[in-house]
Amino acid sequence: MTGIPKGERRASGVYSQLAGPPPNNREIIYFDEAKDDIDYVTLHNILYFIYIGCVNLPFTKDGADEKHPDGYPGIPDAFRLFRSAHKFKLPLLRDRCLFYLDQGLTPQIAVERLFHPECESYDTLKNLYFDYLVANYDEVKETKEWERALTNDDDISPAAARFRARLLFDISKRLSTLAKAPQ
Amino acid sequence: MLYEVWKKLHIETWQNTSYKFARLLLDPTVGDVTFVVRNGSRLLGRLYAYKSILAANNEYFAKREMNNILHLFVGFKTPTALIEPAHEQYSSPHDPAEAGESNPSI
Repeated sequence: MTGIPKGERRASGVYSQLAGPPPNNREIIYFDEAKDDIDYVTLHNILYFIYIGCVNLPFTKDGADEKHPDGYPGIPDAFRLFRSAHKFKLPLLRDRCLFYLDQGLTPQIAVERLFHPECESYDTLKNLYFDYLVANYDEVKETKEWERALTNDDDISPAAARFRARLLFDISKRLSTLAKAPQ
Repeated sequence: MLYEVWKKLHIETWQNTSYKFARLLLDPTVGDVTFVVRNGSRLLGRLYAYKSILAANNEYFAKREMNNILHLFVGFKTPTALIEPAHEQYSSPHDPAEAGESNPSI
């Protein structure tokens, strides 16, 4: 974890433009692998939240245009921020993300995220999208995202394919139950 | 009236100070830990922080005693025991190298 890897030297041009060299005795933590599942804006929001309890997730559409102080983090991908909040054990931020994710739901987004392989690990999210999908099935079934999920067009791992198949089974089961229920 | 005074005080003290404080995340001259985000060898950005602040405000970064030495865990590449399983279906890695107590570098 310590020490400067070879790649560091190659990136030094960009590095000095962005920030300048850090002191030598400082610990350096790298986020450069797919399993880290984090980008710069997400990490900035996470650290900002730990420092002062704020993140840049606007409560309203107009909120995106709101002016912030210098150095305020950019608007993150809320789904990724949610995953990072979980990883960093930040329940308040997790709830904040969940609220944001709930507010911005559309049939397309619900399908896309429910069938995202990462969704499998988070029951709260899965339930949110699942319930939305079932409640708005008439609209959902007309979307390209739904078609893609059904036809398995994406290049996904066998585990992700099993997760999708399970979801489709659960969705059909729930829809069938709803259809049988008295109006 | 009193509320207005309080609000002004709040904005001028806590809020502005906090923002100034948080801006230090972008200041390469401060902090004792640097977070480097890269895509392959391409640098996407750096953030600078104080371990003590992170540890004080967040369990993930908190101190933990190991081998009678206090270590401060920072970043993702720490013992996975500190990472809460996402839910009951989550399976912990069985690879000792992944699941074990790999000593953080601090």
